[in-house]
Amino acid sequence: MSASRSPFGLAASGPLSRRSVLGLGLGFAGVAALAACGSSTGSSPAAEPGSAENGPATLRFLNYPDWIGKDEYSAFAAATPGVTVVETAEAEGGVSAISAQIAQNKGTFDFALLGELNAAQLKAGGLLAEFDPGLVPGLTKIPQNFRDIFPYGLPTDLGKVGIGYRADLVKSPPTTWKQLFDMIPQYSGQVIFPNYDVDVLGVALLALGHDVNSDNESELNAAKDLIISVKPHLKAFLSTDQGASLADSSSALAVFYDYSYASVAPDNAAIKWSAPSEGLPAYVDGWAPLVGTQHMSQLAKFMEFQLQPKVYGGFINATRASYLLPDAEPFIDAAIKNDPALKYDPSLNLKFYEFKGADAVKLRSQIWEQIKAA
Amino acid sequence: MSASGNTRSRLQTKTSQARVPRRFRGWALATPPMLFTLIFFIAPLALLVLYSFGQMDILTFQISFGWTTENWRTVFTGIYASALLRSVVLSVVSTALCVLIGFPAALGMTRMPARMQNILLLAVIVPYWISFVVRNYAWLTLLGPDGVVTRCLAAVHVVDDGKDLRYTSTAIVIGMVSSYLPLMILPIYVALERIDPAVIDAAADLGLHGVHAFRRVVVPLSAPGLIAGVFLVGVPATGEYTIPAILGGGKTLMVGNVIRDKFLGVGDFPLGSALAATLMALLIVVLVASRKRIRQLEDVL
Repeated sequence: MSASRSPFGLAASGPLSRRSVLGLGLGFAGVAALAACGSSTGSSPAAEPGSAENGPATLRFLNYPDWIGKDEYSAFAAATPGVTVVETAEAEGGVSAISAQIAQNKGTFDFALLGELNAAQLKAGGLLAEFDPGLVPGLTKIPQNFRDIFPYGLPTDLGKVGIGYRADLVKSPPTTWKQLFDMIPQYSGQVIFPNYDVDVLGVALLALGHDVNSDNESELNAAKDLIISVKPHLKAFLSTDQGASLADSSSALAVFYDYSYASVAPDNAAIKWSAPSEGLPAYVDGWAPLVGTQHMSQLAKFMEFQLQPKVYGGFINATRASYLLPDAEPFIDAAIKNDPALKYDPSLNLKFYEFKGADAVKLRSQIWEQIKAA
Repeated sequence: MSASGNTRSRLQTKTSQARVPRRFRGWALATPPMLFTLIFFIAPLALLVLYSFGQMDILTFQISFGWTTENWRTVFTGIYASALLRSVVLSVVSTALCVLIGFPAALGMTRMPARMQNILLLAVIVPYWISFVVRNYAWLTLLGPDGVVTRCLAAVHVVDDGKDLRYTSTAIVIGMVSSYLPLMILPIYVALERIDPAVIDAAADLGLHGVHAFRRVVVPLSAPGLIAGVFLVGVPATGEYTIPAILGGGKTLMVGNVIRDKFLGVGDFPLGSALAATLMALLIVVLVASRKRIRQLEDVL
């Protein structure tokens, strides 16, 4: 049998020569270099087989961990053969961290869970894909005011920042943000803040009587000084589980989210919610397509699937978030519908976040760094 | 082999040696490690310095190289000084505690029978088989209000009953000491193990006993191990970011956390590079200043 030759001059049988090994090595290096060039030239991934508009696809979803209905992915995959959703966890640390994650992995994800501020910032940076609401007919079932706040995709839930406290430890609970900041030294080492820049700056601005979206340098510096003045008395800035230390009594007060309250309050009668009178920083979370996605129609199908009342009810029951889809009420747990923090009350003084441009983002980012480094 | 075969072999060797001049043979041997150092150490360092003069667009996160010194000015404006100072202080405290705990532990090990020494060495190493992150998360439970450590300390009235030791500088120091202690014990143990018992006997014959012999003979002879331990603990502890991130509760930031936030948090590679280069320069200054002592490490390493 004669020895056949490979493209690199390596005999398919017979002993390896030094030259053939070198040839093989150079060949692999060449192929690797070509592959590297190929992947670095485009910001979006190569088209998958079957990535046609209505064909099979894998939707890559950048999501807050487990912020999805139980079995929702598998139910969608069963209802839409060939289309699956793969979730990746979002970075911790706030708007900048998530934006950086998306920018540094441009083209890796098809869509992401974003607050309206985060989405607006990404939109300004050219990192969001254009969204056509006509692709998701069910979107009209979401009240117009929420669609106006989050026009970048599908609004999924409403979030509010309030005060959680243990009624057995705090005899005179704060009813304003100012009262909270004033009483932090009294509860030194027993107060939790979230590890999110906009929320912490937002509550400090409200406590000082300023706009939650202020881009005024002196107002932001005053907010920074206020936070730094109480920082030695804070127990921690936590990205997740802010309610856990209220539950185990190691904290008395927490600046946290309505969904955090809803997840710990049912099992802890002593934990209460306070909605400060200056207003509650608020946001509308939603799914927004990212630039480079090649699966817009499949994503629209997933959004439409999410808007089915039963599916959406399952999503709310799993996340314990404030719901936006009135049609889903029959499928939402009564405990969530009647929760004092989650219940939508139009009389609440909600202060939604707004994007104020690159200079404001830069200023706020610097101020947050100064707070963390102090 | 026949005589003629041997002659041919010697001739071939001579010929091949003649083909590669002696001065090139050294280069041939040195080239692979030099290339490795160039690609994996010098080039990344050069990139770090290059990036430190760039600028990031806060909206697009794209980096442009306009050769601005803004990042360097930011580093030295004092915003990050407290984080840097905190890193140095916590690193020095942790290293000192590692010496205080590690030296007696290593000394005790050398005084044990050989079989027991092996068991104790294993006990020092075994914690390293468990993930660094998992070990530090375990401290969160131990230092909580109902944790074993807190309860023990409360029992001897060191802390108040129900005190939460998590998310404090104390928690960070405990985490660093527990994580880095083996790196202090092992080199000291090696140095102590190498001390010839005859030297101690000779010191005793010359009138040095007990504490005096320990101070004038054992400590100086174990200095190389001690110095190695100080570097092995102190250098990584200064740039530590995992332990303060877990046990500091996002409140007690060290410079490692700030650098991590710059790179992975806000994607500001230029400022992160300037901070990382500053930290590296600081450590290099310390190492250069200690070069005389470092020479003593040859005995241990």
